[in-house]
Amino acid sequence: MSRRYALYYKELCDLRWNGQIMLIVASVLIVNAGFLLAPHEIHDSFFVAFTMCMLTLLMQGNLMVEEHEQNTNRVLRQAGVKPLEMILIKASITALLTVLHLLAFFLLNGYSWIQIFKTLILVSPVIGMFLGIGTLLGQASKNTVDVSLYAWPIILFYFLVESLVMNLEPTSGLWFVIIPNYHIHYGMLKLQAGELWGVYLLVPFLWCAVAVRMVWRITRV
Amino acid sequence: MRFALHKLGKIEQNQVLLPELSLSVEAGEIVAVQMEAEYMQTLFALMNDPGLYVSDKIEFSGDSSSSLYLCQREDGLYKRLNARQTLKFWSTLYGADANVEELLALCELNALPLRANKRLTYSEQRRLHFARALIQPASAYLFEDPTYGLDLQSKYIFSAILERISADGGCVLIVTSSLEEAILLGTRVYRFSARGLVLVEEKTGNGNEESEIPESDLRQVKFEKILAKVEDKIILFNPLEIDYLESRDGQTLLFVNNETFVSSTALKELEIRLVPFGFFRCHRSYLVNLQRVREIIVWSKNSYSLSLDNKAKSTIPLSKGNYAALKQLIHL
Repeated sequence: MSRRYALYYKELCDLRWNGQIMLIVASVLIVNAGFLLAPHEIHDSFFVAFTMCMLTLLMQGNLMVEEHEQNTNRVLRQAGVKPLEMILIKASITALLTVLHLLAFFLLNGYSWIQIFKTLILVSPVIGMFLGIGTLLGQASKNTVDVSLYAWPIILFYFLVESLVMNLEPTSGLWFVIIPNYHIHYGMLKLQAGELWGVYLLVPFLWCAVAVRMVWRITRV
Repeated sequence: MRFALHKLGKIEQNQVLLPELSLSVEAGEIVAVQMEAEYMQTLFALMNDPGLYVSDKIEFSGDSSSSLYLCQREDGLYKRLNARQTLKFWSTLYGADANVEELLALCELNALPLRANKRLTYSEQRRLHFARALIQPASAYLFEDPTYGLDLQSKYIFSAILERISADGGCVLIVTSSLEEAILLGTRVYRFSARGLVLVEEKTGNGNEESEIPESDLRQVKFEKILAKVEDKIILFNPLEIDYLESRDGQTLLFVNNETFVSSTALKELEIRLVPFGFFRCHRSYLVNLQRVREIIVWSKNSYSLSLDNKAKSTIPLSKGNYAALKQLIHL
């Protein structure tokens, strides 16, 4: 318990002065404030995708790579800190910030509390998936520059798929069914229309499970 | 309480990364070992391997690596945390009730407790790492080249921390690439090379102890040691440890395992003492240990060199007159 408290203490002391993370948070806030203030026809699912890519993925990747970049892994290992424990501490901070961000956006966008709750359940597997990818990026990178370098192709691909999903009819291609964007977009539409949306959790959950499994494997090495 | 290494070594393919090292450190003792940087790297890589702690190659009163404090030169600090936050973090991490203010004062960091670690000098950062030794509950302490690049103030602070660990009954093992630092820090000093572990110096607490054995029963075995002075210490070398000697600017330089030491004894006098050990005057300014000679290089009719089998693969001159004497000596 005291070890976890120590790790949280260290992360929070460090986060306050982490310019890179602060810049990520600030840019996501500014862009999303622009979404809210300017008249637009973009669906809220794009905002969710933007937050996941720009905040969840990059923040988790940057937090993970810091230990490697600062050569602090060895001392943590010697103190008995398991890699999984460290990943969970960092992921919980990233997840909390993502959820707070989404909560603020949905509230300002006029969602009811029950709608917010349901939407958060719908997007939770995607949060898990991006946390997993961010962790893998952080583990594979040597420094924060590497994280950005490897993250951008993923971000651009996700945005491309997101824009395709938003502009095509649901019946235009079966291959969309295997990507999480489709399920988040149509899940949110169904949820707002008061229709059944639970089925849209399945595929994102599978993606999340794959990402978590990969993270689990690297912690066993 | 005792910390011991039993035949700890590593061979990879055809390369000996670390020759077998056997050594024990008693409670309160500070043992310093001088070795090459490559050996140090391998030793610490082995010490970081959890598999070692279930083998019989290491022995200490603790069942895991967490009972061993390791301080490596490459260990980093969280650059955005300050000294106080770092010590508090370690204190909570190890579940120790450390007095952070006292540690800051001991490390002489109390004037800048709020300065971010990245703004501390290298020596100040190292002092913070040394303070971890007083936080982490450990029975044995292993330091890698602790005084490398440190300022004088930090060296004094490190000595104070060592004294405190020693007084608390901790076993301290310092591994360094500098023999001078090893002699300054350790109560028992060794040199470790491919030829094994050689005791260089042992400081005893009561140097005035009188022997109770009658003088008639004491027989002094004749031995020969070559003296070299390092600061205020005198090091005694086994003649066979020396690769070669050189007379330069009125001084005699001893070349021992990649390091150079100054002896106040003249080369001519050393020649008389070392010839029975297989040394040979190959040049007016050089005396070589023939056991280290690998090649005799003939550059021209009047120019010769000796190539040595030491780590630096040194080449020393061989004069024409001595070439003939050497040929006779080795029955060429």
